[in-house]
Amino acid sequence: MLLWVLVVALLLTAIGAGFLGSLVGLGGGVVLAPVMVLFFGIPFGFAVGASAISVLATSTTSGATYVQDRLTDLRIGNFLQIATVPGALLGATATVLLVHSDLVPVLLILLGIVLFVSVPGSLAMRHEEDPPLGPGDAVSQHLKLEGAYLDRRQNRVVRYRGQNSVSALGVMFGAGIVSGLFGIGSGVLKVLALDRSLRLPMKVSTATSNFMIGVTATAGIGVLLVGGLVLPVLAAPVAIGTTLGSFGGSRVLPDLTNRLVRWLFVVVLVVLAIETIVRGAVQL
Amino acid sequence: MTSAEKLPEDPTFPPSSYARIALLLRSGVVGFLLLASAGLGAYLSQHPNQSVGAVLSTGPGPLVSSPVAFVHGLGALDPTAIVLLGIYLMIAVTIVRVLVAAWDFARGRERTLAAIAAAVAVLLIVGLFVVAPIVH
Repeated sequence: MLLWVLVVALLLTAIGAGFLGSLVGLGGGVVLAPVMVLFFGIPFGFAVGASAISVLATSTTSGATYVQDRLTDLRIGNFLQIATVPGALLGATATVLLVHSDLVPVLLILLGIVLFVSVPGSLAMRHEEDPPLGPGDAVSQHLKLEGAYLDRRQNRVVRYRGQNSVSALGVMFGAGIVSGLFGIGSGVLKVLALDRSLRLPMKVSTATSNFMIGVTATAGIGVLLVGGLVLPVLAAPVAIGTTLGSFGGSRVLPDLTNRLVRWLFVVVLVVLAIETIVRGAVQL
Repeated sequence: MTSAEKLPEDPTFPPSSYARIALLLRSGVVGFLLLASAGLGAYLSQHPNQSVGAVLSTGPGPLVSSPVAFVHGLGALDPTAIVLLGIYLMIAVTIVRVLVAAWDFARGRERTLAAIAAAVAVLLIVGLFVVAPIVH
């Protein structure tokens, strides 16, 4: 295949991945990595490298819009990064130790099962537009992990307060490890923590996750760059495409209902769970 | 659509802070798009008949792993170096946005959150310049 043909194909695929990723708080790697490997025959390492750059592109692009619209909670996002960044560094380092280990496929299958198990919980909240405004735990109250956003769809200000912030930190640490270790799943675990542990509105969860995934990706990107896994000619169309797609997605999200965003997220969660289990099973 | 209700103001992150961070991110995106598009376009015009297999077998080359080669590549307007510059710009913007948050927290006298943001920035820099070479 000629390079320019692949570049055009990757660009178009990445536009779709970026659009979806910016809506549900993921980096687009859930779509891009398997498409690059299965349809275009790109080695997995280069696909992970390009996906990491696409995460950075999605986070920066959608972050610009979500921060402007105050859908991103800067306070909560910055607080949780203290768990995700060390997790990502640990995960990236562990990659080297586990690269020839039989443990990786088992861990992938376990991660897939964890994602599957979290589906019913997300579905149980499918009728909930805004979470109840709880009192918040001690950490949340001390650090004022609360905020509000103007919901364009409901045409009113929605207030929220973080709950269970310590357990959210634990999930975020796990999200960082998974991100560094496998190059996937970081966004999905972040949204789960923001939505299920902290009990933030779904749109705030996906917007804040989008803001955070870029920082987590940056923590592990050095390893990919130095390891020769970022091929600029492949990473460029993927990142340009996700930038354009996530710009479109970030324009759409504020006008969607939290319920619809949750449905989209659940669909992606199921796909990612299957993808992760299959990846693990193939490596066994 | 406008709402009669107003968003409560956060003294640590007033609207000007949100606007500043959004501007930083937007500048990063525009800069990346310009550099990556120019670099990719130049590369494809220089190698119109190159196959995917040739690119994969060549790998990223020294531009990615050697700062000296990268600087020389930029000086020679090497398309791959221009794409890389765009990627580095986005990485830099990500670190700067964490530093900006640390500054906002410190200005708002929120010492815990300022320390967290500063620690995250340090971890990112350590990850890029210390952990990555060691792991490699």
